[in-house]
Amino acid sequence: METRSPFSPSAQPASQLARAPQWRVVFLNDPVSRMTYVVLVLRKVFGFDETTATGHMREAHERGRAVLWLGTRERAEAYVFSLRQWHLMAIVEPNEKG
Amino acid sequence: MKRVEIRLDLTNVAPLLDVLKSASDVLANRLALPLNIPELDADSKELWNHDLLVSQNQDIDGLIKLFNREFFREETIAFDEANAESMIRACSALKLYLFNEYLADLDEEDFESDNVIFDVLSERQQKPYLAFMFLDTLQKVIMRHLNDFILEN
Repeated sequence: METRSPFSPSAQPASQLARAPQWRVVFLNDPVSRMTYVVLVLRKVFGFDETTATGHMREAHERGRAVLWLGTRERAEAYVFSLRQWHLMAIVEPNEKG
Repeated sequence: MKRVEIRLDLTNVAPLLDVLKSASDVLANRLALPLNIPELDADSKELWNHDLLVSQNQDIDGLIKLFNREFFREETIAFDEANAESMIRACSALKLYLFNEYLADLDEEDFESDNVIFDVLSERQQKPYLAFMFLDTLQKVIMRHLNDFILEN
């Protein structure tokens, strides 16, 4: 089955989103997902290059969480939905949260 | 179309298929990864839960169907561009279930670095652990050979 999302997210450069970042997509580390799988999924869902995806994976592995994306709530939810289709633990939260 | 065939030893794999089938039966009605997102409202949670469950079960059904009569005759399963994505997602869903249900009390560091000593596992954990490692290996093989197709799809 094709990965699908009712929201159809697409990657967007961080510079364009920096003006009004209201919501963030947070990836939470889990003991089950292999590093290579996480990198593959982050590249697939966000269009990250390998270095960026690996950096996010390492951050989550070392700190327990990594912020993957900032922007509108609708698109943040769309990304989280996609990540959850791949069984990665991701949440959406307001950017002002500590 | 690139195709990867994996020959499996039936005597080793057959006992694990019961574990996988039982896991798939449980996951028919629940997500492998619980939908614990505080910011989602109740309507969205219901919609997501439904859609994610449909997606999860289509993936898992596809994986379970690989172990059909032909598999028991040929001892081979095959992956290609058409099913690679779905199969690695199915492996993840089943791995999550097996971990949470049977293996969560293992040392996380040992588990992540594959340093679990089989003999110290309880009887209840042994087959699920082998099933987990089997799925993990399948997932690795698919990613090793079909990574580019998954990214480009």
